[in-house]
Amino acid sequence: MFLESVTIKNFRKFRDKNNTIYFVNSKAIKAREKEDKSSLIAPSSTLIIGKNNTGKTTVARALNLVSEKKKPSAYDFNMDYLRTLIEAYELKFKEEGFVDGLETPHLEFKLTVRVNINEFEDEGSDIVNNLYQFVSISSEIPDLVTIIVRCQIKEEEAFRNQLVSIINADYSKFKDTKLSSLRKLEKLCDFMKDDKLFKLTYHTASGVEVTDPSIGELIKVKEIKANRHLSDHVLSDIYQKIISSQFSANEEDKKRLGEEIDKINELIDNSVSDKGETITEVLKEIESNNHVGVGLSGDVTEDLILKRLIRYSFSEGEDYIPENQFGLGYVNLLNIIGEIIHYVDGYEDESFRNQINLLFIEEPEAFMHPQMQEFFITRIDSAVKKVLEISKKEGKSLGKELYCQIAITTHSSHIVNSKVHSCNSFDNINYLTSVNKNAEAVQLNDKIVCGEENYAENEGLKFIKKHIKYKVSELFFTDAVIFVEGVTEETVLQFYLDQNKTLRGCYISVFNINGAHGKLYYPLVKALKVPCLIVTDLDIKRMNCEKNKKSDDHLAGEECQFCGKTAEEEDKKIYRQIKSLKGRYTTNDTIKTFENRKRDEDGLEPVDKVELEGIEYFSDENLYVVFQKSPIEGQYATSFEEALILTNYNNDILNDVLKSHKPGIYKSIAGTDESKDLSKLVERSFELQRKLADSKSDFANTLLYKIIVSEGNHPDLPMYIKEGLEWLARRLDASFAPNGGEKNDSK
Amino acid sequence: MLLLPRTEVKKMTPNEIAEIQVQKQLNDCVDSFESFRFNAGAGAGKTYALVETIRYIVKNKLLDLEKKNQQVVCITYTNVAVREIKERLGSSDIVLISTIHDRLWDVIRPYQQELVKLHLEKLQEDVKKTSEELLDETNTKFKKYAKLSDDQKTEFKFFAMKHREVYTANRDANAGEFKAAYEGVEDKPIFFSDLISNAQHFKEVVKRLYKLERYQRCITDIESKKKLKVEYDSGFNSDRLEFMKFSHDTLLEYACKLFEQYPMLQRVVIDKYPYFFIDEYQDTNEKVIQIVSNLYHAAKKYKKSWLVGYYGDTAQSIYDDGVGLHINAMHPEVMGIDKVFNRRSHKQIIDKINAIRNNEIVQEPIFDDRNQGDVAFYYSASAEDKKDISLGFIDRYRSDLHNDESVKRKDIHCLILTNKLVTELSQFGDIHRVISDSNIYYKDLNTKLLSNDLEKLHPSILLLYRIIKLHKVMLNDCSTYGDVLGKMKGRVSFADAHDLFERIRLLKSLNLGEFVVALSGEIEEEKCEQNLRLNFLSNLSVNLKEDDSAKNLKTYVLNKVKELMIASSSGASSDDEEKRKIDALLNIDLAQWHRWVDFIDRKDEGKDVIFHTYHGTKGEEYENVAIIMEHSIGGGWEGRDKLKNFFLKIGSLNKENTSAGEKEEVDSDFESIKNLLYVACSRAIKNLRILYIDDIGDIRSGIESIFGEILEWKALIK
Repeated sequence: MFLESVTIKNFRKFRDKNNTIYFVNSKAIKAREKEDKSSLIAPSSTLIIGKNNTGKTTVARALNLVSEKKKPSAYDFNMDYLRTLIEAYELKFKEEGFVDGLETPHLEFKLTVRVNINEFEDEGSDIVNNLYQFVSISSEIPDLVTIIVRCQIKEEEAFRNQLVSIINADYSKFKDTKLSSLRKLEKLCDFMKDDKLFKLTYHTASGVEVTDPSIGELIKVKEIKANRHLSDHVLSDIYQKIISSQFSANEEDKKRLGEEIDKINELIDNSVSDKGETITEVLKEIESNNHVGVGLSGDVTEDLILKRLIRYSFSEGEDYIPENQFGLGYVNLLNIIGEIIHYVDGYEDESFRNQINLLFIEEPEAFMHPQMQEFFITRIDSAVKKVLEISKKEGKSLGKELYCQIAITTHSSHIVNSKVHSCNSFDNINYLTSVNKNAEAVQLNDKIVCGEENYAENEGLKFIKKHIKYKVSELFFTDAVIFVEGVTEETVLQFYLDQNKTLRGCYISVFNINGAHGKLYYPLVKALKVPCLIVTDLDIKRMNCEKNKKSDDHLAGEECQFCGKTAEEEDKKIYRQIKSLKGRYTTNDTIKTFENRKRDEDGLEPVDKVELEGIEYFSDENLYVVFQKSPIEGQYATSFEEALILTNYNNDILNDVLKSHKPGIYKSIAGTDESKDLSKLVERSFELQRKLADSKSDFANTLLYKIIVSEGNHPDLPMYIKEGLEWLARRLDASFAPNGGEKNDSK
Repeated sequence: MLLLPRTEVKKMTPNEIAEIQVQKQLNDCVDSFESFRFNAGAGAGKTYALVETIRYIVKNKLLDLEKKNQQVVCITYTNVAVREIKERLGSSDIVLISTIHDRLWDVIRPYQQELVKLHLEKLQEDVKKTSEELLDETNTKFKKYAKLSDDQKTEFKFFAMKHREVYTANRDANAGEFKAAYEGVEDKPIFFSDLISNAQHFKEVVKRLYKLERYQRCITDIESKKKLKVEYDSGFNSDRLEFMKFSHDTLLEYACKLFEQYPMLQRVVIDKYPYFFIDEYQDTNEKVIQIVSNLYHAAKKYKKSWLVGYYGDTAQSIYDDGVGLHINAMHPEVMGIDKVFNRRSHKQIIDKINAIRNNEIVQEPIFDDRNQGDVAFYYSASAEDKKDISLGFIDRYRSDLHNDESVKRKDIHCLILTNKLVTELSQFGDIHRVISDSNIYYKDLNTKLLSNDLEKLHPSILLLYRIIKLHKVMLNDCSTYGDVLGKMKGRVSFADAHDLFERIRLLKSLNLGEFVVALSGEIEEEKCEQNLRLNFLSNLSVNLKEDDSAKNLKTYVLNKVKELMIASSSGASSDDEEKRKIDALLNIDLAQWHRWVDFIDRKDEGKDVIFHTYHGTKGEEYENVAIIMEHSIGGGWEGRDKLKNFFLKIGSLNKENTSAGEKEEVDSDFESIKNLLYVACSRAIKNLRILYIDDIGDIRSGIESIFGEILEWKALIK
């Protein structure tokens, strides 16, 4: 049997929605043929990822509380929940004068356990004993069992009285209701500190109470904690654990050691026993009648030998290295491996039939450099493989077969990579995020990531899986994302983000997704609930004649609606400035995608060509799409560069950069220094941006350099980006208040 | 701003203030550890007062109690009441609410050494009694055996022990077969054929010999310290002394003796439970009152802070084993607190119940506006079937209520005097009809067949209840494996459990017998994994090893049914007669049994007419009540004309009162019928209709003196 999910209610970061964490089934972990290179550990492991303070550790704590039947304290309650509770009591007391029947604070953990009942196969069936009180008699196949654990107030009447007296205490010295309600919460917490206030009750899915279930026997949680203590002897300790388990596994070795120990003890006996007699003789002289005797004998035990009498020497290559000189990262990895090996050795065969074995590894990335993190799962894999091989060699005919679920909490994008690559899938990742200061869980899988039903052969998914290695996993740990279409935006935006007081305080990832691939990420980003600004381009469809190109797209016998020529006629090539969007379409994939999604919601058929006239920004939950929808200086810009030029045509820095970057073109458009007419830049902005097209990267870098070294008079961002950043700042302010608010005040 | 509780804002009536005064009196008792007896008529809010008293303690004494690791004890008469008080009070660990048996067992359980000693004495006493019985030459059953010489007796005992399996294999056979079974047996004593000439008497003798042997073995085991523990078995309503298990009556007996013999025990209880409340004290066993009264005196002697609070009403004493009025003599020292308000009923009903009660508590409604009640008394002397008359009566009542817009609740609770009628109306009349013919004394049918409290059911009835309940559990989608397996021992696999339960769920039995046979078949050893089987059986409180003639569940149940249906002492009934009686029970269809279980479990959601016995409604209240009365309580001579005599007496008392002004001594029958009628009539909140189905010619004046105008019920009038 295995734990399929746990739903955590009112406990710490979690409230009452999006609060379910899913776990993957435990696959058999056992010794395999050498050629089999597939991962042992990865298929059984679940990843719980998220930024700091989003409730990763809470999951392990919750399961620990359940399995050890611990009582919570006040601070295990969700504060938001307690606050609402106080408000409910205040309201009822004000209106009715009594609070009978109001709910008292409770925590709830709902576990679903997947059970194996192979009636006809040799594999055998799981055992009911630890679960039977929760199994419904009417379930056709009782293979999914729900357990509800509630932690509630023992003396409800006394609690209500106490809360009423808290509500009615004198708060006149607090001028602010915010402060007085904070004080009430503090008082309530003080009262609830006593864990004797609470009791645990258990219920079936249909709410029937179960008395005295075997929860402790059902769930075995082993935690390898984040704040693990790494002492100087940690390596010796680990090796000692491994060695002694090897000894206890091998009867013959154990017996031989035992015999030798007996011999040693005999030897010691022989050499010290007469010395004991001497002492006794001396004592006799002091107290002759009731003389006190002393006997000496050898006291060597197996434990002692393994712990104290074996010297562990460490070497790196040929050189001897003292234990405490190994790098922290290395020691840490070894420590985790050691704990796992210890766990494997202590694993009781067949125990998965009636219990859930859960191994929690908290933040394994500590002290490890990125490459080591990348290979984390592979390394653990090989270590466990080795242990299993050894145990197989040492007599046990079949070797160990382990069924345990491994949950890894992490905020390292490298570990996420490691997991995604060793499984080649986004399945079994729980992403935690903070919404209104409460934790919310998102279950990720291939379907959600690619956003389509038939994800198995999806090209986009393959792309993301590959791409994740480079950048995508950053998405999981960022406060906000900005997708941009080109290198200029990517380079320049970073500087402007630093100028905004809200955005400066957040961790914002800027992704350059270069056009068409952008939309592949949107399902993932949407699921992650991270505020996401998509800065895209208007990309106005121009005929070749308007781009100063050979008009091979003119149709025979039909006049071009822009230059009036047909295919038969001679070209009239110009760089056309666009002052009206009437009859214009976009070539931009992102805009097309969002427009069609919007049409779909409105019940309209999708269109191939998206008309630009009157188009607005798109907004979809946490996504916001901006582009050059409004004219700048009367012109519609088709790209970021053009918009930047139009916005800053008379800015010195921009002019300097243009001039130094494309001196000839700049001169031909703006004129020489003596007769400069900057308004020409506006009139010929499109031509200018076409000329820049081949050297955007250089242009961006020079621009950034100039901006950074100059004292002021920085170019303005185009309006659509400003509006986009404002939206982003509002979103972030809302999700970080009141902390975000404080930050702003201090500056 | 300080918020005031609503009660202080609203203006209170003088009655309400007086009522608060009564509650304050109780709270003062709590504060000063003054023991008290709270007397309140029906509907006075007795349970409310009890719950308020406990709340007062929780509110004011919680810290102190926690510090000293003390608890508040609250004892109720039934598990139904336990649940109700728990619901009203909310979750609490400091307050122990339970029946007297559970509490007593909790208290005395640790004293195993002393308990085993008592148990040994009881066994020895039983052995002595049975041995003497077997020597009684005047008893026809044992005469032949008693007249044997000592040597012959020893010889026969030896023979009986050696060939026990012949007896166990054939004890259910008829006389001829039974005798024939012994024919092939060798080494028979010469007097054997004479002894077995009456097979029934022979069976009685050897049954006692075997019992003596089992008891003797248990005594040896206790003496040689092989058995060190006794256990109170609430799941099985009779003693099984040889298995070191005993039931509720013996529990009271042991507890009484322990308290008498070990004063230390009193001190433990006094220290551990400083507040001791007894709900419905009038129905509490005298032994319990004795224990509590002794605790009271011990606390006084040791100058300990301790109090007992009795809550109840002697006028509502309706069980013969309750202390009733006798409490005045047994524990007179406590302070009396009376409450005369009625929170439940309208004035019209209160007037009637005051008239029945006719003592110092004369109730009045707490609010003046509760003056909308409606009471009507009908009689029918029609020769029609009583069931049909009742149904017509109720039907009319129902349609009247539906047409009356002032009535919000339309459901009718019908209180039926006789068990026969209540079971017929509840549609399990066959069960009552068949069991009336059993060993259960007619007066006990109320409790042993129809009680809402499982502890009061006859042991065999309880087994049937468990089996039917299992059948219901199996059909109920909300049930869990836990409901079927109870507390588990040993490992059971999902596959095995699921397989068995599916097989049982698919059984298509129609009557009890078929179900028992089919069920027994499904859990045969070859079909059902051993551990699963044991857990399954033990949840039915069945241990096949304890009945050495029971090879499987089927024979076990049959043996129990036999114990229920066939009188062991009569000896007169023929084998055919026995078979007929047993088959009659087994042939009752499961639907009836289900309705019986629902009746016991009080499953009445969604029904608009619910039937009860008078006894079964204790502590309840209903908006609309119909009461059916008859002259006689039961079919036998003992119940005959009980009500008639009661009303006759009322009539004559009234006459004497007016003429001589002198009260006649009343007998206990009169008292118990009075209490029963008081309990029944006081259930009604607003509407009460009574139908007396018998000729009331002789008792008209008696009835009129209580209920006023009497109308003739004519079923045809619409």
